[in-house]
Amino acid sequence: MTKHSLKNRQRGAALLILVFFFIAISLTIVQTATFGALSELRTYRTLSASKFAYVAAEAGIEDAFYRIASGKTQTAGETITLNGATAVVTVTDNSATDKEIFVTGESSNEYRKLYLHVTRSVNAPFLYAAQVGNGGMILENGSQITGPLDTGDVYANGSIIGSGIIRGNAISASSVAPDPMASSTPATAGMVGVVKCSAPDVSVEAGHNSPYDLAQSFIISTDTPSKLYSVTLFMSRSGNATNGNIHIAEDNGANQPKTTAIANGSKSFTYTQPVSTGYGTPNVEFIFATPPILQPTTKYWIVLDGTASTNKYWLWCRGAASTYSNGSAASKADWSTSGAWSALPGDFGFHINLGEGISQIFGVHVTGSAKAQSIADADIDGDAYYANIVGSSVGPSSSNCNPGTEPPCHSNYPTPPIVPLPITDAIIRGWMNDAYAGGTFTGNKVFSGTQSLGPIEITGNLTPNNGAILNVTGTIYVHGHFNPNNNALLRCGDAYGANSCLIVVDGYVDLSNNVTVAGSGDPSSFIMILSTKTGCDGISGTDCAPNYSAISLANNVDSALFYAANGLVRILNNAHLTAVVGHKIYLHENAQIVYDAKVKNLNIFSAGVPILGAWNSSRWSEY
Amino acid sequence: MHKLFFKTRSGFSLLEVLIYVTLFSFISAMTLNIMFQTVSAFNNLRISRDINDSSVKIMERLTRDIKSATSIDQVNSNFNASPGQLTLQTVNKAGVALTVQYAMVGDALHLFEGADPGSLVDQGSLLSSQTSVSGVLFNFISMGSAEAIKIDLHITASRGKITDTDHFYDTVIARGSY
Repeated sequence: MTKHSLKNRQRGAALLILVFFFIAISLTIVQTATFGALSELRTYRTLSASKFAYVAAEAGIEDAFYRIASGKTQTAGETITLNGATAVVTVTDNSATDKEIFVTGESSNEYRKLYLHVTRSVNAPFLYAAQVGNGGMILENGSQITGPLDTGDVYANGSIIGSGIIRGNAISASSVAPDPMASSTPATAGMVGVVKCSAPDVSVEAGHNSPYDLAQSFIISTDTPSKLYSVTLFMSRSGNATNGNIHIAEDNGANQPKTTAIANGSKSFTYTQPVSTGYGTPNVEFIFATPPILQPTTKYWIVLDGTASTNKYWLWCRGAASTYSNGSAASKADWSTSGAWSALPGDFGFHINLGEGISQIFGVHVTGSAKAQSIADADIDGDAYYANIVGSSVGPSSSNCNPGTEPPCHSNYPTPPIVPLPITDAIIRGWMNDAYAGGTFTGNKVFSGTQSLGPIEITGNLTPNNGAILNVTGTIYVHGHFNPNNNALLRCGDAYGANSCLIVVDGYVDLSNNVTVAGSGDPSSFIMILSTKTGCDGISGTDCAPNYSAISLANNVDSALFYAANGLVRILNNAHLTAVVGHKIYLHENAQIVYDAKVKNLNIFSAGVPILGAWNSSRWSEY
Repeated sequence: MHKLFFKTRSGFSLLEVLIYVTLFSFISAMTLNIMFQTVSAFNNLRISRDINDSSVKIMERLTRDIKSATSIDQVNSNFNASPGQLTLQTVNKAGVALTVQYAMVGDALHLFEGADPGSLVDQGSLLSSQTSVSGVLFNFISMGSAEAIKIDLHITASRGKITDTDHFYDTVIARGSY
């Protein structure tokens, strides 16, 4: 039975063995694959942890670099935690211009170490193709600011207007902001839509019945002297009153305005206002052509100067109760004559705006990004950042940004902050001292042929004659004007090598036709011509270069840098230059600034005060 | 009882044989099919692992080397064409200048190192076995103040009749060039 039974059981085994055999093979394969996958998983987990550690170390490096670049506090052995990974930052100060950052990133016991060596160039005043003060920049038709790969960037603490092309980014900044404290708003009861005076508030007439002039005092809330950009009054008019005149006057010590003004503002209205309604133009802003600098904790008065008229007069809204504790209201027949003012209860409605520069880009073509408070009629190839925009074409699809989507339209963008011009007076004095050290030449220096000059102080004018060659062998300081004649050549001496040379001029600089300017011959060498001339703002001035400019350029000066912190730099038709810094810059037709990025690391050879430039990475690697 | 038992098991009817043979063939075919599929999946898995191993190795190494490069040697590099060649000027751990070159030898990407482009020594292939580079392309990007390299890497692996190619892309800035 056993034998039979066994034989019997072996009958179906072929199939079973076959199935078991193949399943066993499959299982072996699956097991091998699983083990392989598991080991791969471990590898990738390690790789992933290593990436976490690396990214944390990068964050540590960037934080440390940001702190160094922006002068923020650096804690010793700072630790940064990022998504479970930590980075320990160590900064070694080698000198004021040399630092090393070591960062160890760690995640799940995987470590990555990063090293960054940063140095600071000693002279880097030309970070933009054109850096402009609050005088703003004007680009005439065909004018161009450019550079290799569209690096013709412009930073202006004022407006950028015209019809030229900026082949780079354009930023128009302003520091104008309302004083949050020095303002008074009449109660809004009974007001409809825009702010209007109505019961229970009182509007007081200026120019109708005597007294004709009204005044309101205020104190600025900043703790540093500030420029008064504009004053906004809550006012309207009756009849077709046209010119509104206001004055800013100091206090005479008896809580009354002085009879002389420190600044004047006026507003003309050309449209016809219905006489009966009277409240059509509230919130009238008066912008000062020459902004006064107001001192903190000092009382000033806004004086609304009315002229007697029976049917044309202004109404300035006044709250019946006091709405501003640091000021008071008063009236007088004529503000500029002697005699006492009459105090009025409550306060007139007003706001003041402190700061300078108009953040506006108007009409120009920008190939990069454009940032300004308002952009109008501009053609922007990149992105636009603005608070308001009109009539412009932005981005590759030429959007008008009304409404626009991001990118390229970035609305509600805060007004860019103003950036001070890079060379301080202390640095310029240092350069002047370099020149004094070489001796003084008294009188006007006029010469022909080839002359090597510098370091030297010249008390008069410096005038190379027709065809003369000026070889700058040290810093030259000219008290008078610098006015080379036709075909003169100005160059840095060979000894400058890759450094750049410098001519400081107190008067104007006028480079007329065919004056050639060059560095030492090394591509990193440039000649910088700096004018400290004040008062030549393109509108008026005495002892200025043509068109009331501090620096006037009429020819191709490719290796030249120009700096006029207090005046107009005027670049005439078809002139070319490398980089410019000016209070105000005017590019005439077809003028060009062709930026060379090498000037970012400009090294002006000087024994004086060094200019500390931007921090730069000189080595950034894993270690 | 014994007799009866043997009598019932003494032979198979044709039908029984047919059913058995059918069942046998069906189950065998199914099992074989499962096994072939497993083998094929396993090979696919191994190929993808080979490709991933090679790509991770090459990409990590390239990224790291480009990031720490002080400059990109445009004369000794071959950009925008396959097979590409990339030569980097960098420094070693001790701060001594070092030239690193990535170039194709046959169908493998090799790493060369030396003090200067004239004295490069082959450090061997960066690929794991069974894989080959079917295309490598380097694009040079200059941003004025910095330089970058865009990498296009195509890796092929074969096992038996199965062949697969994967594509990898990355862009790395040469930070030393700032």
